Parts: sequence; C-alpha cells; structure tokens
Amino acid sequence: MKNGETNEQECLGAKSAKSTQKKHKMWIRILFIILLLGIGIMVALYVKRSNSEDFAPKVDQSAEQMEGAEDKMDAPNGGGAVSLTYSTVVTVSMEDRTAQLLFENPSKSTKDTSLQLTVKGQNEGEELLLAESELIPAGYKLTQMNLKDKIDLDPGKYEGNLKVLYYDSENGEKEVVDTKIPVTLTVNNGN
Amino acid sequence: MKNKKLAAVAMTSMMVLAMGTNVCAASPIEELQGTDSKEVKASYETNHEAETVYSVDIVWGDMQYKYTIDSEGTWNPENHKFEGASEAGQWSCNEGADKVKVTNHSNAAVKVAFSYAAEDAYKTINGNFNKNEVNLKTAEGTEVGEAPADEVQLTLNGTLDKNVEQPTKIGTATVTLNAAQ
Repeated sequence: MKNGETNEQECLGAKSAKSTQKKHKMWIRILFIILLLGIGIMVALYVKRSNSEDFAPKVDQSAEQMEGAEDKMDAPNGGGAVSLTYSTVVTVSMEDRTAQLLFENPSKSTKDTSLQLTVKGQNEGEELLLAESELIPAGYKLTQMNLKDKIDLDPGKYEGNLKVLYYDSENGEKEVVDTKIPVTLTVNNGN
Repeated sequence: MKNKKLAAVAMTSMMVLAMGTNVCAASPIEELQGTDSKEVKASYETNHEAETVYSVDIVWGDMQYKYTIDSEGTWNPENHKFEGASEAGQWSCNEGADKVKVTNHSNAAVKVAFSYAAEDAYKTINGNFNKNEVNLKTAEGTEVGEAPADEVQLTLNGTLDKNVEQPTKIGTATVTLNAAQ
C-alpha cells in the first residue's frame, strides 16, 4: 500500500511539475510574441517616419563638415534662425550626372536643411526636379548633388530654383518656413 | 670792333635763351608767369576680381496662431441652428511669433520676397505679409552689426474648423532671395 501511495504521489508530483513547466513555456511564448509585436511596431513607425516628407532625411553623404564652431544665433522661442551662404550659379554636367553648387549651413544656424534643385519648365509655373539632397546639418556645406535618373537636359543656360527646407535639429520635424533661391544653371556634356 | 659787337650780341642771345625754361606741353606757356593745366587720369584694374558672395540670415518666430471664436451660440433643436453665435473668430499669436527678419551680409544687394501657401485642407485660410518684397542693400561698407535688414509680419484671415484642437500645420511661408538687379 505504501509503495502504491508513494508511486501515486510521485506520479502526481511529476504531473504537477510537467504542468508547471507547461505554464512557464506558455508564458515565455506569450512574452516572446509580445516582444516581437513591439519590435514590429517600432520598426514600422521608424520606417514611416523615415519615408515621411514631414521629417528630416538622413545626413547627406556628400555634405562636408565646415571648420570652426560658432555660437548659435538667437532664435525666438519655437522659431528658427539660419545663416545661409550660397552661390546663384550652378553647373550641371550631364556626363557625370552631377550639379556643382555652393551652399553652406554654418554651425551658428539653429536648423538643419535639405535642398531641392529645380529647373523651370516650358509652361508657366512648371518646375522639374533635377536633384534632391539628404540632410545638411548645421555646420555642414554641400558643393555637389547627383541628378535624378531620368533627367536629360541639352547643353545651355537655364533658369531654376534652389529650394531650402528646414528641420528641427532635435526632433527632425519640418519647419513651416522655407526659402527659395533663384539660380542660373549652366548645363554641359562634361567637355 | 663790329665783329666783336656781333659776337657779343650772339652770345648774349644764346645765354638768354639758355636761361629760359623749356616746356613740353600741348598748349605751351607763351609768356612769363603764365599757367597751364593737364588732366591727370587713372583707371582701376585687378588681377583677381572679387566674386559675389551671397550670405543672408533669416530669423522667424514660432508661427503658431490661435483662432478664437467668442461664442459658438446656443443650439436650438427646433430649427437646428446655433443662435447667438459670434460671426467671425479672431486670429492671434504670441509677441514675435508672426515675424520674419532678413539680414543681408552679401557683397551685393538682395531683393527678398515673402509669400504664403496654404495646405490643401486649409485653402480657406489666407496668409498675407505686410510687405511682399523688401530691398536690402549690399553689406559692403557696413559694420557686421549694422548689416542691411528688414522685418515683416504674417497675418492670417479666414475660418478654422472647430475640429482642429491641436496645433496643426496649415501652410508654409516662403522667403525668396533674389539677386537685386
């Protein structure tokens, strides 16, 4: 009888242990699924933000850091202050598929920038996007942009615009103020 | 004796002529104590002409406005209308929030234009600057702290829907930097 009771108790103990293990495994699975869901949501939000035009792009690989650090300009609370140095002359090489320009966003600016280079179309108000930069942070300059793939211009002079977009340096949000700089483009075949 | 006199006169004449002043001029001075003048001219030339360097500072306020209606009125279920509602709301903002200041540090004049474009969902709200265009002279000849500058103000008009309870982007202000002719 005692052996039978012992066996029965051992069986019950084993069953209890198995049951506990099953519960542990179930909880581990549930927690793992929650973790995967959380990672998936974070990745989705990050991708959405990266693709959104309302937030800053990543830093442009062609952006060059400028020498010297300056004190930030005084900006109204919630507003912005930038100091732009630029040229109104842009040289476009169809052979290299690049646009040479001068644009500086010194370190004293309180906003980061990005550029859009456009050329005026044949119809009034029409503008064709030639090149678009990634982020040019405060303290950086840009002297070259790559043309978009389908752009094809004959050699000559064109009127265009360099559009400057501003972004908050901390949260990357796009500002409600932007700047447009009329430029003259000289297009050559690289000869 | 006669020859001696002739020789003396000749030598005296030569001495007088040698004492005279030779003047190389287009209009020679023809009398003693006379004057003449000639224009002195000069021209500028450089081996390296300074290029135009455009450098402009732009400072703007937070551009956050509030649209306030004094009273939405009282709903009358009999005619399905709000009674006693205020006709139009008022736009307001903090001090300086509606300002844009531009300063020219270039060695050339800059003509700055200001414009406002509403977002698609808020086309009924217009934005106007008190000055559409300002001319900033070249900074050449000025101290850094006294560079040519000007400030404009953006005013909104139109109606904002009551559903917009959080600060929402309704438009974009554009500052265009033209090279002044």
